[in-house]
Amino acid sequence: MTVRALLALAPALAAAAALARAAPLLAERPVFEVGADGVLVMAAVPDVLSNAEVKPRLTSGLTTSFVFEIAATDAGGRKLQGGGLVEIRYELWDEVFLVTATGADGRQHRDSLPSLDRLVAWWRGLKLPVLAPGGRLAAGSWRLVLALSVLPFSRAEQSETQSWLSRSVADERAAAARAGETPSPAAAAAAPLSGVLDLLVSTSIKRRSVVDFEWRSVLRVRPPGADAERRP
Amino acid sequence: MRSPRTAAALVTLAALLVAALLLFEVCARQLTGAWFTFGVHPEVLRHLELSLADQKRLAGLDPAAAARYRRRFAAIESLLGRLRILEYNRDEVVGRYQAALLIVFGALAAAAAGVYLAGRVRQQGRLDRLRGALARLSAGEVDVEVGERRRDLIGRVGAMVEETSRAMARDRRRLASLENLAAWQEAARRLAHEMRTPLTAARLDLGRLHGLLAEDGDLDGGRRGESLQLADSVLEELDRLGRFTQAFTSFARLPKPRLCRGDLGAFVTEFAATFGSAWPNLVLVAAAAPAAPGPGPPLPAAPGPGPPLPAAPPPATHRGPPRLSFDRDLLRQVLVNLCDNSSQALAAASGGEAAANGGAAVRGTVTFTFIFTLDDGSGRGSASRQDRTSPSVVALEIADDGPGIPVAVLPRLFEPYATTRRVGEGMGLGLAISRKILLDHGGDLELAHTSAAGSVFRLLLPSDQEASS
Repeated sequence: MTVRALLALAPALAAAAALARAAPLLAERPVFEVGADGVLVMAAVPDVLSNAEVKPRLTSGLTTSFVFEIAATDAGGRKLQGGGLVEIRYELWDEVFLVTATGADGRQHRDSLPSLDRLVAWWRGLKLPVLAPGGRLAAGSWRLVLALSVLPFSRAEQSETQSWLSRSVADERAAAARAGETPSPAAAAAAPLSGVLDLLVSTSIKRRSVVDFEWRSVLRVRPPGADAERRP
Repeated sequence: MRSPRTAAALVTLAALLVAALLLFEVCARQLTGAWFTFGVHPEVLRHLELSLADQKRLAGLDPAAAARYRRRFAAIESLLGRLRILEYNRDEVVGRYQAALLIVFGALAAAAAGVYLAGRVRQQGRLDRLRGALARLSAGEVDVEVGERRRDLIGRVGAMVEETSRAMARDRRRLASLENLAAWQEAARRLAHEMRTPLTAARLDLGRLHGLLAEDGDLDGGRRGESLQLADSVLEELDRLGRFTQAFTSFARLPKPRLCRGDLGAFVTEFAATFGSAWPNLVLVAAAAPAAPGPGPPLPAAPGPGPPLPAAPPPATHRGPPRLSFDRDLLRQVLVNLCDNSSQALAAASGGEAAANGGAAVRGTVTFTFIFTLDDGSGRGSASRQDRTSPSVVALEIADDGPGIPVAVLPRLFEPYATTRRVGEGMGLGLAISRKILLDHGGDLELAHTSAAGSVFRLLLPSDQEASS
């Protein structure tokens, strides 16, 4: 096999490797069930915490955010959207994982877990309300699409870092002024423009997702009084 | 008030300045922002992590100060978190910098291109105007205005086109004047010729009649004396007619100027001295000409038919008259004509005044003053010696403090037979002859100013080339 042929096959091989890595996760699917109060609850979430991209983030000291977004579409094309949020932060001093789960119904569940294994177990047992349609899901078949984005830090940490960065640059300039350093004429003239650049820089700090997952499923909702069942 | 062109240039300059400053700032940030690279360096992050572990260990070893170590731990943890967020966004931050740099470069390039294109468009517009002016000039149009005020190459060419156009206009005016005068001269020549023959015959016959009357013995003394007196009276009238015929002849046979280089200043001074007593009611003054070099102010426009002339501003600078070519006899005739006119006008105006003063004569002053100018005599002046294409001109002003010229005469002032005197007192040829002499010199004669306080005539003579004949 020539080098050229290998090069031509490289993208296909890389895609195959990525698929193979994701295969366990893609093979697993969360379970959905409609509670008595009509809220769609997600359970048995696949273990994304052990993912190679995610795992190192869990112990960074920053709040890793797991953002769930779900879209439910019935046979008539009616579409409902919802989601949930799980935030995990490793407390470096106490060496515990602090977790907060916020469901679509607005309820929050906090916990403190001493190890990664306990965290994975907690994740496995997590039941998170993801769709609160304000009433019961109508009986029938619903196509569900669940997307999970893993963000390396929380929105609060993002804002705090942005303001810290702007403050640091301003402090640097103020310190130079306090030290009696005379700015060059060009620098002095460009001072009003610095604010624009600071804004440009600070807004370039974004919460780009580390990795994304997506699962598709079909949910059959029985008439009131009957149990809902999930059919893969 | 700024012109739109100036405002546009200022806006462009300001835009370029802002873009350059922005570029400087962005570049400076890129170069001096090493703290960013160092701050998120893996070594820094690793040592911060080690420091975290140390704080925790220290707290275990020194429980009394645990709170302090905990606070320090929290601060380091916070810093570490921020740096990790920065590290995570390193590509975005760098990308933003590069985008800002690109935008500034783009703005700068666009501004430069805009300035260049605007310059090209403006230059093309100027060239089009110049081309149009040249086309009008080649079509025979005179007094063409290009409207170029800048002193670059196009501006200089525009100035040359305008000067050429003005020279053409001036030559056309001179030609028209000369043609007009030539027609009058031809008429005068024919008139003089037609008058001279019968006049001569009449004189001869009258002479014979006079002799016959003297020899006639049949006439008594009273009748003879009366007849001889009558014959003398007719002869006197014929003599007066002869003088008029001679005036016609003089006008018709004006000689061409015989040009000799000479000092016009010395000539005028000599004239004032020689003819100082020729007009009892005039004092001739040749004003001293300062030797300050440099072009004088542009001359006011030549008078034309119409309303009274505005007062011309006094010259700001003078210069000694250069040597130039002129015909001394003809130029003397011009000065005599002008002084004659001043004297007669003053005498006519001061008749009543003299009677009021108990018969004492009123005396006026005629002043000769030089103005050296680079102007071509069109009254517009020229901007610089470099752009000049027409000859420079020496102007000699002859000012009197007489009663001025009546407005009604001004439109025909230089035409033959235009006079304010009573019938029989003058032919009205003096100014026409004087202007013809100046035109034959390649110059001109114009009325610069007239009012109740006096009149100023201006003799224009080319100074740096031989006068055209």
